[in-house]
Amino acid sequence: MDLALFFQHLANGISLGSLYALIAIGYTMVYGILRLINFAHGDLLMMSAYIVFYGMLVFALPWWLSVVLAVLLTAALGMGIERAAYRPLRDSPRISVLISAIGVSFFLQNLGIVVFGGRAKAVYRPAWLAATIDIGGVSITTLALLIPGVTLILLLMLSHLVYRTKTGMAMRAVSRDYDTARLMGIDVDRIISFTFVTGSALAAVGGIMWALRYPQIHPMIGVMPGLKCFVAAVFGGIGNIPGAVLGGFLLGIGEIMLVAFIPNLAGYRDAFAFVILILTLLFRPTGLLGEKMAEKV
Amino acid sequence: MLSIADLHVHYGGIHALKGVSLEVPANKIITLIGTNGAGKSTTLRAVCGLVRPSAGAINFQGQDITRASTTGIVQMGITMVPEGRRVFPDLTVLENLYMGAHTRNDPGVKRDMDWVFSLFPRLKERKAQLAGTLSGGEQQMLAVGRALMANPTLLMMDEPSLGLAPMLVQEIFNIIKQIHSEGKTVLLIEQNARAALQLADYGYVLETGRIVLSGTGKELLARDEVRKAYLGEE
Repeated sequence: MDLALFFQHLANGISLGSLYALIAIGYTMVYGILRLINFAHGDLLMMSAYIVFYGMLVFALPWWLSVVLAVLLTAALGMGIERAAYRPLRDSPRISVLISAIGVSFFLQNLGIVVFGGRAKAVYRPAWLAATIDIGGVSITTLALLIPGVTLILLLMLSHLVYRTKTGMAMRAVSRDYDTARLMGIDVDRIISFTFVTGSALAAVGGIMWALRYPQIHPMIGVMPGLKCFVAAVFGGIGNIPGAVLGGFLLGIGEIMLVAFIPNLAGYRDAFAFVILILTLLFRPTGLLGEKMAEKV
Repeated sequence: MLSIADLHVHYGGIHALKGVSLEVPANKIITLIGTNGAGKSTTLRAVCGLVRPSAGAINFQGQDITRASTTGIVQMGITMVPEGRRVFPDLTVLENLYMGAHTRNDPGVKRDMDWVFSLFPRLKERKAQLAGTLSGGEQQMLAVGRALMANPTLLMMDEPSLGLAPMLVQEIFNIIKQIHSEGKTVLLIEQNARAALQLADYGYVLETGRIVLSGTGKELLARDEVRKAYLGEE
């Protein structure tokens, strides 16, 4: 195994890890604020990929407009899901909301089958994305550079939002203590909506890049990435944004390396994430960067 | 300024407030004393809109705020220092103070920040520190400072001396006096009835959801039933 090949796989792992990180953030943000695993989150990336597909092929919109529309509509969808399926259950036991989330996930998948059809569709991928660039003997596709680049920009924007703006401060306050946040004059429902918008928009970008990386879409494409990103969020420490990013990257790189270096186990690549989940829950339930399990008083 | 009329609150099947009426005139310190579970915190939470009364009316500066949102109530000039401080532990001291000014956009924020720092110089020294790393007394100062950052006309405080060392308790009461002298109206809940009544212009005694006694601080301190039940005298 030479070094160039290792870097080749590493680049590939970073690119997959970026996607996991983008999607895992949505899980962790929603969990941080509602203590809910939003199982419908993975299906948002499917919706976003389809919106771009239809925007470009059916409505003949330019690619950039399709992408912008997909991000906006997916963000609106995420917000709508919270309104319709989670907000009415705000004072119900947490298990009811969780079941509602699973219901929304099935609903979106089946809506996809009805509206878009169950057959897989091939995604048009511009040639320049598949072009390879040679960096010191390591050949990388433009797409494998683009994905981490876009991810990095979005992460910087998110970190600015969460740690440098008034709204971000309010999000952090709400995730700690609803009542005290209300006493500050914070409109808690608005902040929750905003959190869903942010997480969903990131998932939308993740979904578009996912469809470019694996250029075939069908109504179930969100399921496996959704579950894996949930694992990434738990692995990194659910509720913790840097944790979700770290978990996403480690999971993506780990998965690629597993397939690359132990080809016999390639068939188990999806199982890898779930082994990580089990090990995390057994040995470090709070995850890598997770907060101590302080019970809310 | 604040007037509560025949307020009832139910928590599920529990009738927590059974017709509480009280008046908080402008620029006064009013205290509400009573044992645990008498309904003191519930009264304040109802004023803030954190719990919904089942009957009764709350008026603030001539406006009915019984069903107003907490955000609206804060913007009208009522804030509360919640029981147990409830600072945001993973926000810095400075961020906690800015949280208090969340609804504001006026240049007065900077001035109020300076005022809070002059009341609590310790907070200034520790402004970059996470609030969760402060001592209990410092967290209480932060909770008070945070509430002042909203520039309230009415400041409600729920057990500000709870769990503090005697020296700090005295300091908190001095601070309340100072805040009041700056023109703020104060509605204070205290278990430390003696200190509260000595400070307050007027007091109400709450028992199992009803006001059973009221009078000036001095009057209440002199009443036998108050001395026996709340001051521990025989």
